[in-house]
This record gives sequence, structure tokens and C-alpha cells, in this order.
Amino acid sequence: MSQSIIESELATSETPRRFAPGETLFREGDDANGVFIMQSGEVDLIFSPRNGEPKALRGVQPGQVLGLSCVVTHRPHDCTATARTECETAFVRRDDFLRKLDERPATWFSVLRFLSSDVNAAYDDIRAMSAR
Amino acid sequence: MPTPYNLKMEDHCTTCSHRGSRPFCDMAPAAVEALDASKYSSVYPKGSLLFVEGEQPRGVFMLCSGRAKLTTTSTEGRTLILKIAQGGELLGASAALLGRPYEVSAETLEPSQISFIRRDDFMRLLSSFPEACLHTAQALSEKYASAQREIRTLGLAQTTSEKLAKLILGWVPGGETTSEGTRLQILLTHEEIAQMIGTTRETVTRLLSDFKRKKLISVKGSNLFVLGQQRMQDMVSI
Repeated sequence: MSQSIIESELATSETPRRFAPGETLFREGDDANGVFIMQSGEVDLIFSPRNGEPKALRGVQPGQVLGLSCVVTHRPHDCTATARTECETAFVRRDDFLRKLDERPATWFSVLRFLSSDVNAAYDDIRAMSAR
Repeated sequence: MPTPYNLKMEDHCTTCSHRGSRPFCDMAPAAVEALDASKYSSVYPKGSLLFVEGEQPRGVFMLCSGRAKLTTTSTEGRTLILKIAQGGELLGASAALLGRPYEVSAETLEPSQISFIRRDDFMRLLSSFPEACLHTAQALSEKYASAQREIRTLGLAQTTSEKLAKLILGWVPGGETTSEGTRLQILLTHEEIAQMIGTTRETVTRLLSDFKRKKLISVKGSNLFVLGQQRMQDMVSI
């Protein structure tokens, strides 16, 4: 199951959004009001301590979907996403996304595989970070 | 009736007393009946390996009761504990969904009742019941959120004592309030605590002694009492 399938399922609900380097897609603590399907460019995921400087600890590449787990669990974003380079994304509002899943249950399989890949990518980052 | 390890066995999902409080299992009757029909339930002793990192996925494991540690190996070959899974958690779902090897290993920390669902049966359950998809998505999202918290700790904590204080504070909500402080039952060894915060057993032993000397905690057998929760909170900047 590839990005193109989730995109084709959601095509009628998508709004293209472009971000210049340094622009913010969403901020830590914001409500997750939709998902961003990354089409081109790179995004930094920035984590803020209670005291001290925020740090970019992870990166997001084309093909990944940002905000998926927060939309599914109705939780606020746990980090800030900022464009590292010029980015093109397809944005799908939360309500449209959830309605599409109700209408087309088969879409669930792509969502579950994206979430599984997100979990694996996070584990890869943990393995790399703990070796530093 | 006697049961292995004196565990209260739940033979059927349909009559399980935990169902209402377990996000994955709390589904409509038809979905629960399908889950019940496809699972193989057993009791595992402490230290049982359910699956290992790199193994081809055979299916998913529902931790009906007990606890299990999820571990991985760093690029330097060090063991890391990513999460202590609690009763009600679904294990191995990402590997089963992607058809790729398990990314982590899962080992029971205490006698546990586990229900195994073969991969084909799990996929059939998801195809038949969108509610099962939603609950699986929520289970995966919880794993992702937990991994993000681990990344925050690894990337932002300034010192190992800050990591240890954060770990202990994370256990407080599950503790018992007593006149001596919040009582936590710690079934982890110093080695396992070290694997949770990416340090050595010797460092954990030294830091716990330091915390005791500062009267932040006291330890009696497997019970750890948190005496200075606010002072520990002040040590944590993340």
C-alpha cells in the first residue's frame, strides 16, 4: 500500500499547501486539525523542553503523513513541525479524513500501514540516538 | 479452581471482566465474538519471549493480563527497553500489518495471560470490522506517542539523573498514596532500569543511592517510596 493509494482515497478532500523554509506546519500543543501528506521537501520535528532551547530531533521525508496519530487519538501535537526546505504537502482536514474512513473502510488499511511505518521510523531514530 | 501462577484466567473475550477498560477489546458483540473465535489463549511464566526482533511476523499478541518489556538493540549493540507494556496492550501489530520482521522483542516481566491471533486471522478481523481497525490505529498511535516521549527524553535530557527522575515520576500515577509517600512496586532490576534510560547498571545503582541520600526516595524490598515529588519534578526540564 503506497502513498498514492491514501492520496487517491482522499483526493477530493485535499488542499495543496506549500511552506517556505522556516515556516511552521503546526506547533507542539496545538490541536491536530488535520493530516499533511508530504509530497516534496523536508520537515524538522522540533521538541521543546520546559526550560531551554527547542531541538530538532527528527526529520520527515516525502511519502510520510504528518499528524496521523494525533488525529486518530484526538490528542494535541507532541512536537512542532517546521519546513527545513521548500515543501509541498496535501492537507486533509480532520473531519474530512475521519468521514472518508467511515465511508470507505478499506482506507483503514493504508492508515494502519502508515501508522506502523511511523512507529518503526521512531524506533529507528531511538536506536540511532542511543548510540550517540 | 487452581490456575497456573494463581492468575485469574479469562477464558472468553465475550465474558472477560476487563473488556470495558481495554481499548482494543471494547468492541461490539459481533467483533468480540470474532476475536474470541480466532485467539489462542495461554499463561506464560515470567521471562517468556513472545517474539524477537528480526523474526518474521507470525501474528499479534494481546497482553490480557501481566506485563511485558519491549526491547530493541541500539546500533552499538546495547539493549534498550522501549516500553513496559501493560494488560490490554496489543503487541506485534506493526510487523503483522506491514508483513515485515518484528522491530522489537517482547518478553514477559511476570506471569501473564496472552492471547495470540494468527496474522491471517488478524487481517480477516480487520477486514470484517472497521471498529477493530480504529482500535488497532489507536493502539499503534499510543506506541508512536510512547516512542516520541522516549525521543524527547533521549534528545533533551541534560543528565542521567534527570532521565531517572523523569522515569520514576512517570510511574507515580500508577502508585499508591501512603503516609510515607507514593508507593511504587518496582519489579525491574537496576539493569532493566538502566536499559530504559540508556545508561549502565552501575550508574543506576549510584543515582538511586544519591536519591535516597537526598531523601527524594526510600526503598523497602521491591517497594520504592517517592518522598520528594516536587523536588524531583524540579530536576526535570523536559
